[in-house]
Amino acid sequence: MVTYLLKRILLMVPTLFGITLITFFVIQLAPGDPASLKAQSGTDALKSDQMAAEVIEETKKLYGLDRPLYVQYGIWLTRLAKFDFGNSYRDHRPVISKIGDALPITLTLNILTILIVYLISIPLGAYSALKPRGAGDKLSALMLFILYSLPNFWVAMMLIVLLGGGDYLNLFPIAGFTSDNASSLSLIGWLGNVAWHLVLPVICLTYASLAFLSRFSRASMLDVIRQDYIRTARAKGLSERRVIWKHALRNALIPLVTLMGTLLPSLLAGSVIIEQIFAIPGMGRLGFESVLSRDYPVIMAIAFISALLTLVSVLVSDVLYVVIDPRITFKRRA
Amino acid sequence: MALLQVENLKTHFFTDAGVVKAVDGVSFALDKGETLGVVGESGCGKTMMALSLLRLVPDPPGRIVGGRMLYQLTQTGGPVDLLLLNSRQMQDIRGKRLAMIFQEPMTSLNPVFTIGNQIGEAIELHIGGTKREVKERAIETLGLVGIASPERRVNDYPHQLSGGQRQRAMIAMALSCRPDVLIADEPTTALDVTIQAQILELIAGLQKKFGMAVILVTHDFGVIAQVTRRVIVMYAGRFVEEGLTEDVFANPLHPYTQGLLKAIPPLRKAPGKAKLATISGTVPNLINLPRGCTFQDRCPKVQPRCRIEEPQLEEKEKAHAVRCYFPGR
Repeated sequence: MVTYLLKRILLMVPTLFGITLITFFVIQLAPGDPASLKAQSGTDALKSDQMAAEVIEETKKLYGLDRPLYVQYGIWLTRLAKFDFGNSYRDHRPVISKIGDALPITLTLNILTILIVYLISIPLGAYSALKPRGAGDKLSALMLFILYSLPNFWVAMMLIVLLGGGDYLNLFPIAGFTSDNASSLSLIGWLGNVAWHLVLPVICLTYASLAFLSRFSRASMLDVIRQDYIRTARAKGLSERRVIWKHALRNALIPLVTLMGTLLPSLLAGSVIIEQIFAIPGMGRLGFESVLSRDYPVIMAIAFISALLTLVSVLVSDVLYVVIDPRITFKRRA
Repeated sequence: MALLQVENLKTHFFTDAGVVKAVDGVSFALDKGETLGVVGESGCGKTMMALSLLRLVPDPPGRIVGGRMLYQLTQTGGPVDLLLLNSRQMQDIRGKRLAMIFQEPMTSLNPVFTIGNQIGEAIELHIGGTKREVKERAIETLGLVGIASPERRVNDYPHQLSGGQRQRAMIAMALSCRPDVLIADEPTTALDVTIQAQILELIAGLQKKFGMAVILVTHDFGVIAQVTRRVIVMYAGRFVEEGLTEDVFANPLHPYTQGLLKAIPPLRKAPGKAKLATISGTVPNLINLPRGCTFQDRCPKVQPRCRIEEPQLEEKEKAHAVRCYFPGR
């Protein structure tokens, strides 16, 4: 087990290397570079084109952007080996501290979402599978398909208008992760404040995955219910509840566990829009702003950390497999 | 008084194409401690009949639509009709009074629980006891079905056992609560021949030991000959012949039974010299059964009368019934 894990962790190194390599060169393909963007933002001060060109040159030299690309990448890699992501081009803060502020926020948002999605969709899917094509199944299918087809930026807007003090009710805050005075609150009060701020964003992130996963768990459950061992369990005289929630559910969960590994990355991507709309200072928002200003060090750090998170969550779901399915083991066969 | 008296049992499947009469009015009695064989080719309804006895027919699309299943629940009281019990009461019967083992030991055990857990579950439910008592009983039963070092095996998962061992574990599960009736649906079909004999011997031995009745469902006349006292031949959802095993073998009355017995490959004849006898044609479509006898299209001695009215199952010789107008040679 330990050997296997070590092997998997070591294998992450070349994968991450590949990902950063591709990201690094792809960013360069985007038109514009940080130096000229900086120069543009101060056009009034820079009267002549010649002066502007000089500023651009200086900025390039400052950030090392005048060196060949492969040298730049080499420098980035050497720094990474020392866990140094450099400083942001925008405000010269260390990238690591910007990410240190943003990452916990995004992780809270997404892990909360995953938990809620699984807690609702597994029982819901299992329930629909018990009476397939029954009224409950049809109703939930209809609702889920409607939810699945709603674009989440639209839902976000509607929630703001309806519940966020737009035109109707003013129940939830529409921006930020905490209130301005949150630091003066007690721990419980602070948690409550965060939860209150997260209601709308979490709803937006949850509902589409919920639809997908409920249907998936229904299909998985239906598949399991047809198996011979379910008939065996019934033949033993077990109650229907025991048959379903013990014998069927455990087997139906196996494919759902794999999905967990892929759900986090897709949620991270999805939270860019939601963080933007609700002005939550998380990774999505930070990434979006960095891309706009071609803040290379921040973009690279975010790409690296997202890739790392993805690889780790895939590894975690593989480990969960072993926990849930005794047929799978990391031990080599003797 | 018979332990189990089935009367006119009908199990139908309601499909888009029409109603499939998988079991269509079968009646039989099963005595305490008796071994009854049910034989027939694939699709004749024998498995569905077996599942009907436990009321485990997959619903939808299947449903038991008629009949009575009278079961002698206590020594003194009258029999109860299993079809009238509610699902809670039926759960008390399953596993405790009527237990069942299935054809596929590979897929009939839940892959994610240890066999000890799966055997213990039945014990816990029907007999009860502390965790340790349940586990000890599970180990004891595993030993009884001939699994070596059961105290170690009890913690194994199904995939760690061989096919024969899994079927033994299935039998252990079925017998852990000492049922009155064991329904074995093709228990040896998926196993190789040497294991088959072992499993049959095991079932026969345990049957004597506990005095339980066994209903053995199979397509294999060899298996029937080895262990059953009485045999029922099933065709297209009905019984076509019923009698003591030795009588049916020595003197098959129904043309279908005769054909089945002829189709057993002879051991002594030189290979290549004789052609293996077969029954021509296939089982009729159970949705559109022909008028008259269900076997008419495959019968070598069919007469006009067979195409008009279906014969009844009648006792033609002592304790030997057949559904045919022209029984015997």
